[in-house]
Amino acid sequence: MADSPQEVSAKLEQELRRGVIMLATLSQLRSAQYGYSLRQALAERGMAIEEGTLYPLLRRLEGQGLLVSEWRIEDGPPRRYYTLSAQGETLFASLTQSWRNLTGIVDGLIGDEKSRKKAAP
Amino acid sequence: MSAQFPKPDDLIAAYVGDVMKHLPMKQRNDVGFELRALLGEELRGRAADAGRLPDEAMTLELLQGFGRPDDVAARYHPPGVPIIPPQQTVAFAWTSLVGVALQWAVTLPMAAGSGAPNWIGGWWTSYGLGAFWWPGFLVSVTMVAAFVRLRWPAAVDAWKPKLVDRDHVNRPMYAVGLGFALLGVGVWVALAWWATTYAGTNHLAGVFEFDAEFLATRAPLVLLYWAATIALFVVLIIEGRWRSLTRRIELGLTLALCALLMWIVFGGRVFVQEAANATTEGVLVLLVIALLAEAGWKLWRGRSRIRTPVVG
Repeated sequence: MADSPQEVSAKLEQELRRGVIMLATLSQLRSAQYGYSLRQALAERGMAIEEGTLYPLLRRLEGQGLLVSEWRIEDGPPRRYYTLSAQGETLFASLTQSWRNLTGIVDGLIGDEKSRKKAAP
Repeated sequence: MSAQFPKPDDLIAAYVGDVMKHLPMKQRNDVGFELRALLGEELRGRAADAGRLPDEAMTLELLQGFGRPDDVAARYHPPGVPIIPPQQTVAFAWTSLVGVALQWAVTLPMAAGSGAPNWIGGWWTSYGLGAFWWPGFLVSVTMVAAFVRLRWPAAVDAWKPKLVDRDHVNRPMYAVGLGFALLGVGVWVALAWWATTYAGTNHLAGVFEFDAEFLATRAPLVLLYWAATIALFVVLIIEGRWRSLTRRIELGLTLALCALLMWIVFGGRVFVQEAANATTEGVLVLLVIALLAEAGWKLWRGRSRIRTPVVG
């Protein structure tokens, strides 16, 4: 059975978000964060990521050498804090540039479409 | 006995334990410890938002929203190399199913016809289960292919054009094929003559003694089929190419051969001796299946690859 328009819309939006989750995560790890605090920080800025997606992602990024982590005890139980590695910082700068280029291009395309619709009789 | 409600911490510990089972050994403790702490914090955060203490229902909602333990564990793994790539999954499933079904289609009637008291049980524990060697073999082949893709990606990633002229006739090869066909006809005719002549005096000749009715009615049609096939070979060698007509003649000859072979199997005995007769009939049935499969493959391959869409 075909998905309803709402389901299709939700899936496509999810795909769009999936593409930027990594960049959003890296952006918040220029200072050390642990999983829960990172999720809260992202949610406060409007980028809510499910915990089941975010926590494994941190480990995968660490496995790829983009993050470094350590156990720390601050105001509570031991927590694993993550921050960008040198390689992660380089990649973050590169991805940020790519993102800005891409959003500029897509904004231009969307703008063209709007102006075309306005121009149409 | 009073009902025991699990505490939220126990539920989280049980869930994390299930996730850990699916993780690599060296990651288990570290990830398990972190995940348990994070889920605990998530739960306390939700409870604070709801203005009440965490309970079983709230914990279960959190854990079920987090995902099935094996799915969660999979998210901790870096993306691996699939043994069966997604674009090959349907073909793999069909190849496996058709392979098993063909083996069952051939062996089940044989077992049913054996007359053994528990033939279905005997069939299942031998040919029935044994047919699953085929999917296992296919998985082994795909594992080797996945290893090659992983080890030498450049060798398989680059597209190479395959401009094969399917209509070209390799004359020397076809001439050799024609020679073998003539030799086969000669051997078959000689064998029939030898077996019929010496059946009474030579034991081996008796084994291969053809049934008289077979020689009188069905065997001449085999010779006729061979004559037609040899004529087609000669035409192809002379012309050097397949044409639409010769393709159709070949398909017609294949279908005619299938019909002839089925008549040979079901129209009476081939050999006088039962053992030789039963073996031959089994081989001929397999041959018909192979011929039909080959004809189907050729038809499928010969179809127009890109059809013009219906416009309007």
